[in-house]
Amino acid sequence: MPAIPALQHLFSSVERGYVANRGRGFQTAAVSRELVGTEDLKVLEKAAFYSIPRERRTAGELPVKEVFFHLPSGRVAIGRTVDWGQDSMGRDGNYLAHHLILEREAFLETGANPFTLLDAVDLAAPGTDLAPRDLPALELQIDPLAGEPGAAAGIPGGLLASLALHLVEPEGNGKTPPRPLLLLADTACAARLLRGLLASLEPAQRIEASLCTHFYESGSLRPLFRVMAVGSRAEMPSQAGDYLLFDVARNEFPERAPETRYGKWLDAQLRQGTWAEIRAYHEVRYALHQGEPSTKTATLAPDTRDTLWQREEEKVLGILKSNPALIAAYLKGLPSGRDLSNQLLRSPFPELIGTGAPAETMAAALTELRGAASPARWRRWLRQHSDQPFFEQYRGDLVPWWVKTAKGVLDLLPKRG
Amino acid sequence: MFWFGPKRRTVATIGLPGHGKTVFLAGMFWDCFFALAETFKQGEERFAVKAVNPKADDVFYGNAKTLDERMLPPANPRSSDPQPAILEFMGVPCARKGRRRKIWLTFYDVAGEVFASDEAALADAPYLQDTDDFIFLFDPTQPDFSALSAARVIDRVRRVVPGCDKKHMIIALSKMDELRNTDEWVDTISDYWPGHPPRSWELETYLMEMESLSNRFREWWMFPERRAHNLIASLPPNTHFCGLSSLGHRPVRDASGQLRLLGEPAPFRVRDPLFWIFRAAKIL
Repeated sequence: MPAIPALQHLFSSVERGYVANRGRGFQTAAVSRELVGTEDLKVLEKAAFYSIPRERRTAGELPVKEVFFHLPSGRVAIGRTVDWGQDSMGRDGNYLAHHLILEREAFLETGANPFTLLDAVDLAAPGTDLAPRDLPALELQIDPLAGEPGAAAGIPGGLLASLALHLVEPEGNGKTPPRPLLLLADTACAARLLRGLLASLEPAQRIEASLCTHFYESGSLRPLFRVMAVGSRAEMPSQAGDYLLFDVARNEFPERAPETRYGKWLDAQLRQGTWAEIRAYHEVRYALHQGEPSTKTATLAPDTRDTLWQREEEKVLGILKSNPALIAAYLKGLPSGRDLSNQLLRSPFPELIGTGAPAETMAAALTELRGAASPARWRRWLRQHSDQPFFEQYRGDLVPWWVKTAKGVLDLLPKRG
Repeated sequence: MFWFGPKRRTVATIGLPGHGKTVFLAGMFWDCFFALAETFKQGEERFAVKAVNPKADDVFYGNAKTLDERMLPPANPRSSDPQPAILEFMGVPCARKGRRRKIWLTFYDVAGEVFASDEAALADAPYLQDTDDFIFLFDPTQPDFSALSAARVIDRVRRVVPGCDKKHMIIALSKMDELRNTDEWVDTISDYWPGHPPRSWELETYLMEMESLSNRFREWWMFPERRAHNLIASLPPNTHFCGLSSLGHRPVRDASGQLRLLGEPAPFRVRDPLFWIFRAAKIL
């Protein structure tokens, strides 16, 4: 795991903030110097906003707000805001927002899952020092596969699938901006749901899923987020019609039919709650991007292998070549096996099967290739390898189908004399 | 422009962080709800205050309940999306025996940090452009209070609101309960303390008191130690001044460090800014 640098920002109501002559009140208390005077800092200060409905405060229910959003510079921010008790004047209602700021590419390297970072760094922890100062950049080491799709277990599968499809296949086809997705769920449930949801997506989709787990009175921050959560209908933003509402308790949500092969796969997995399969998909996919086959590749369900093949053609071809055992396992029961086999059969035998594989492994790979590829492609590849020892075994495949049919018909005719 | 129905005005409370804007609004509502509703009742004629929208319900009833529980409203978070809280005042009596009138006042209560810079005020307090009445509230007991800091806030608002000087400005000093015993305040406040809500037929006298107090508070700002000549000289001539106590007594910190009231709120002249607004609207 590479070390990723992350800038920091702390915002609270303090007696004296980072800007010396600003006086007391809500302001940036401490920040990494690289952010001072930037548009990014202005957005971070706005996004720090935290308000709790009176009833929840009275009941001692103080939700933790977790956010992930994009900054004007192209960087991304991940943050946690918590109630911070009383301000310097003894009033309740103080809060502390602690943000991490990463370069987009660095965030993608971590797997682009904000919850992984939130778990790895104790943001807005009790006792955080709010003395005005320059904050050092943190060096983070994040496991890109730390997300757990199973966090969403117990959430209605249909709702989860619809939410995911609205993220990976957004409405408007890119012509009009999609409506933000508003979750109606208590804070803990929303956090579970979002954790599971993001862990189920690919990094390139996660990075577009900016989110806020506590969106109360935050209508003006709407452009920052793609998904936001509120605890009750009373907490919903005033222009609720501008959002697509997902009511978790009532299991009410806007249905969405998958359009792509990947959308169909994701929809099916989330509806069935096959968390292990989703996790395995991401592990195999991550290994593919590292240029290595995962041991889990062969154990993926045919549909999952199919989806992986369709999304990562070059990389799948790369790990299969010279690995006859994996070719046999990957092609077994694959719905789009013909396409993959045809692609594989564009490579010459030594490159495709390699050398030194046991005869039975090689035979298993050839059997799968022969069964899945189009007959014409198989014959063409076979003809190119008439000098190979396995050729004799498949020589019969070179007889055209009409010859075989005619021969069969002739065989059926009564023999003369 | 509303040709029919009640008059409407927009009110902005402005001040430095922690100078009591939220508590002032809470005390004003408390005074209307519990005191004026009783003293303005005359025969069949009634005075009442009502929350028109959910934000007003939350801000005014919510904060009144908090005060009733002997606690103080929480600090306002710094928001860039201030929401209006609309109150309807019905049956406002006229000092000169005219008919009673109704008025809708739209209040905005935002964190004082919003007024820390022109940029923040423009971005986070867009309602200032439509405001009719500006209540500048200052707590002289706070260490950051001075003629300089007060003038700076007022000038900032005048810069970001074109034509601000043609609008109605009220300069209010809070914490009169704490200050009334200091020498310089005895003459000004002692005659009026603890005060009582006026009855309908006492309104004219009360308004004369307000005029008198306004002049005396204007003079207070001119005391040599205030060094506020520049501030006062720059204000429009129709600016009104007043002094008030939103709670009537000083809250104390409990064992957990939280501020608590020792008894029921007993606001002192917290209605004066409201009455100045009623007068500016020509209904009082």
